[in-house]
Amino acid sequence: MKETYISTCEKNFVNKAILADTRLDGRTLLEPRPLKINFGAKWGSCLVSLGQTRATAQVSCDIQTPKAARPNEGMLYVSVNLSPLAAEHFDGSRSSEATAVINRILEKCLKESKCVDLESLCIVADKKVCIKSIKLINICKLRFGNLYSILFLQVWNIRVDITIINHDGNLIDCAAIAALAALMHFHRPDVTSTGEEVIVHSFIEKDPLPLTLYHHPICISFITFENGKTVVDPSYLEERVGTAIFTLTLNSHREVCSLYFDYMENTALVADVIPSVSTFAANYAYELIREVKELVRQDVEAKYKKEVPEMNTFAQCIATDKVTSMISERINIKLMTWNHYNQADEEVSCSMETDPVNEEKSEIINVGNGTAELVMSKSNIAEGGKNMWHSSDSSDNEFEHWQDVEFVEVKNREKTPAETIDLSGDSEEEETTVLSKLDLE
Amino acid sequence: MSPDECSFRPMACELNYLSNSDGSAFLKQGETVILAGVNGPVQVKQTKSIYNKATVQAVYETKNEKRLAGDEGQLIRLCITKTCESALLTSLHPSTMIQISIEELEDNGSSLACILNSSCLALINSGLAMKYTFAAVCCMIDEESNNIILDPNTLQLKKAKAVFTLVFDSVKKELITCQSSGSFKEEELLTSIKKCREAVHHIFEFYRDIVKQYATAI
Amino acid sequence: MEQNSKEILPARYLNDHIKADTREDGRDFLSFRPVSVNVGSIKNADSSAVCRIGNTGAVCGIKAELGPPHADAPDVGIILPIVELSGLCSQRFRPGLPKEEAMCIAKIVEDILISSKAIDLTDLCIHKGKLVWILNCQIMCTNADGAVVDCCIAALMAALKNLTVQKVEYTPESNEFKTDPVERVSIPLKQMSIRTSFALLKDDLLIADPTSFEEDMATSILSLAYNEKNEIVYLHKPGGDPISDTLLKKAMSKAKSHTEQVRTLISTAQSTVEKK
Repeated sequence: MKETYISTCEKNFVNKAILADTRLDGRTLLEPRPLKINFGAKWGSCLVSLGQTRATAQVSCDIQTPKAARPNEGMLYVSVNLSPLAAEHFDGSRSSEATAVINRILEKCLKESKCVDLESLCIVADKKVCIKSIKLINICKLRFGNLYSILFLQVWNIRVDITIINHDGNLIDCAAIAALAALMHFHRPDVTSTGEEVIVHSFIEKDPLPLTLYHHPICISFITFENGKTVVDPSYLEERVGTAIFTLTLNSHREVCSLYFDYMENTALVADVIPSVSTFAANYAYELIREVKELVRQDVEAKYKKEVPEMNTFAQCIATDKVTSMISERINIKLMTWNHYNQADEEVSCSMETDPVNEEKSEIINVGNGTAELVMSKSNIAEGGKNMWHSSDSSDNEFEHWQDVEFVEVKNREKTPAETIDLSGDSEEEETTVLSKLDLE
Repeated sequence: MSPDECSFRPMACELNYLSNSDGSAFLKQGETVILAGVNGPVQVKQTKSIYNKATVQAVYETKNEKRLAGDEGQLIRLCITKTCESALLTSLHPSTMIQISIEELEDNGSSLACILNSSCLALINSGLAMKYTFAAVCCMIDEESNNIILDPNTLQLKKAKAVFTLVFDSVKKELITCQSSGSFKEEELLTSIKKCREAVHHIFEFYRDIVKQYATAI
Repeated sequence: MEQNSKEILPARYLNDHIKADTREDGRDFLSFRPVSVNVGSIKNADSSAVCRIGNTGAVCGIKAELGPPHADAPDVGIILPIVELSGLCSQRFRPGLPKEEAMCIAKIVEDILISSKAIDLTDLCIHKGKLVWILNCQIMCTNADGAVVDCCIAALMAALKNLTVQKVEYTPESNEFKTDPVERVSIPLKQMSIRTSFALLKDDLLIADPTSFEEDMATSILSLAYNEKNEIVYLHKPGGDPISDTLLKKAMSKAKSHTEQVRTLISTAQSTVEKK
């Protein structure tokens, strides 16, 4: 399945908005989306949401023979997978160009910045002398040529697997945060080496050990538009309209670990991106790393106490008291003037419905109470509609709804026409439905 | 059936979790967490195209060590594909593809059942026409006590003599898919099927609640 | 004429046979095809067997090799079933890369071996953490005409039943392993499991041991594996139309009696050859 093309109309609209220092989701040019990290029950697994962009990471380890050139060092392997869940044009293969680019940037970020202490991952150091101590006589068909080295040279191989599960722009940053958070969260089992044998202790026998990280690198991406303006943390649409992408890998000491710059299309050249954003990037990286560290610390501490963490587990990703609607063909637009009414992110406008019959030019619709929206139909260019979602609700407590439109609350609602679609026939629509243990027992 | 015999771990589900899929479900059964997304009908490669019905394809990604073993996922993929294919009205969308992608975020036992349940919820969410919905139940027979335990977790599974994943349809509550491991007697199988069949309406009820919640709110 | 109608109107071809209460090869609905087993025909392998079920055929060869155990399970040996569906065996398969179907069959074979505890893996251990036997079980399908997995399993079980390996001695003082070129020890097969397939045609008609044409026309496939204690070790039904309990019970009783016959057949075949 091919990626759908972007219309000139959309392109021009985004460019114009950027020229007026406005972004479609209501952010300022240098305002990133909110970060959310959820950790799994296992060590080294996490789910990172950067706005709507979501990535999961899992760190795993196993014992392997080291590379011949570096026999005293552990190994670090980074792999990125673009799941077909993320966007229709991803086919899940690991060989596409997009995968290769992200993989390379992450390798630069994690491996080549030498942030993981690989020497501490060596279990049995180089002991080639021992090899001749075993004589194997008359063993036929010896399959593993490296049998001896497997017995005597052992290091940990750390593997970071990142899967992108939802694509809304800025995959690199999201993947980098996921990888870093997972590495910081990961604990490997303790081992004892008796010279001949290596004993891997289970988590019950001996407490697991965290990885040693020298510093914490993170990627910050920018998109520069043809009018010379640069935005941080681009959304999918912005990524496709922009002319150049610039990714900076920084650590919390404001040190640059790697740089990546590429033109998305060769129609215009951009100038002065690096000096204009580097200070911001350094400050933002510092903040971001601090946030990640704090979140990891909370979860790790809870796990040390052998209790279920109260917040940020996978289970808490699932909202049970709200209903999310996200299937929307439209570009969702929020302008920053009324930003403080809907602090919640783009999900807000996702739950709007427009009426395609109502043929009007794309316009700003004032819903009242400081909220307004600009609706434009993607499929039907420059046609938008009034926000019918709102009008279907009866009028009395509309302001309350708009304060928290991110999630359409099931409680405190008047009867709407939609509620007549009651599947089971009973009309008690107030129930918040979670199948809990209590219900079943 | 007494309540303690039928004990599923708490379930929670969020639909529409992903913005780029036609339907998605994020399902938690106990500590097993699965994310499923459905795209379709979409364009299909010439080689895989079937002229009179839609091709159903499943993509399955897991995070645990099984991944290293390689083709372990192949059988699970087959199971997802065939089960969904039997429920979908594939002849409505000839020469297209319906793609079901599963991401296993956390496995704490009964993962295949959870995978199938989440893919069913994602299919419901995507609005594709189906003959019936289906629900999967995992159950195991304890090695020592010979008790049947529904929806076991990893710890319980270690003591299992036999494990079944049974999938039932919503109309006649008959068996669509069955996968087993371990050895067991015929009577044990039949009682397990009976027990799971009695328990399965809880899952269908859960589906109904979720769908109702979303249908009334949006 | 008949061949034409099978290709052009397969559904009608099948229906005509069903109406006449018979199947395309003249069998009853619940009867099986003839099975033949030959043990020990490949001399290069440590053990081998050929199995034919009707037109379907499979060859299994086992080579025992020495190697280190997995780090996380130091005292058990390894059985690696490898299944090959070459381009020769059916029109459906193209030569080349291993196919999904072959991978699935390999996994099913492995599952049955593990579930039935066919071989006690600790029997394959020579010295804990150092050396174990690795059994490479190469199964090749020579002709695929339905019930391929059943045939593969039967061939593998016959080969495993006959398996002997070289004797290996370990001297702790000098830390030496020594294999004996003449003397061989047999590895006991604890449980011989046999798998039987059934297909469900439309209108809930259950047929045993389907051919590949019947498999294609079936609405659902069901397979059962029984061990020597008449316990089910594997039950597999991937999707398809729902099956009722009555049909399941019918399939179970048929499978049980057929399994018994195949098991006797393998034992008979095996008793006539001398162990290597």
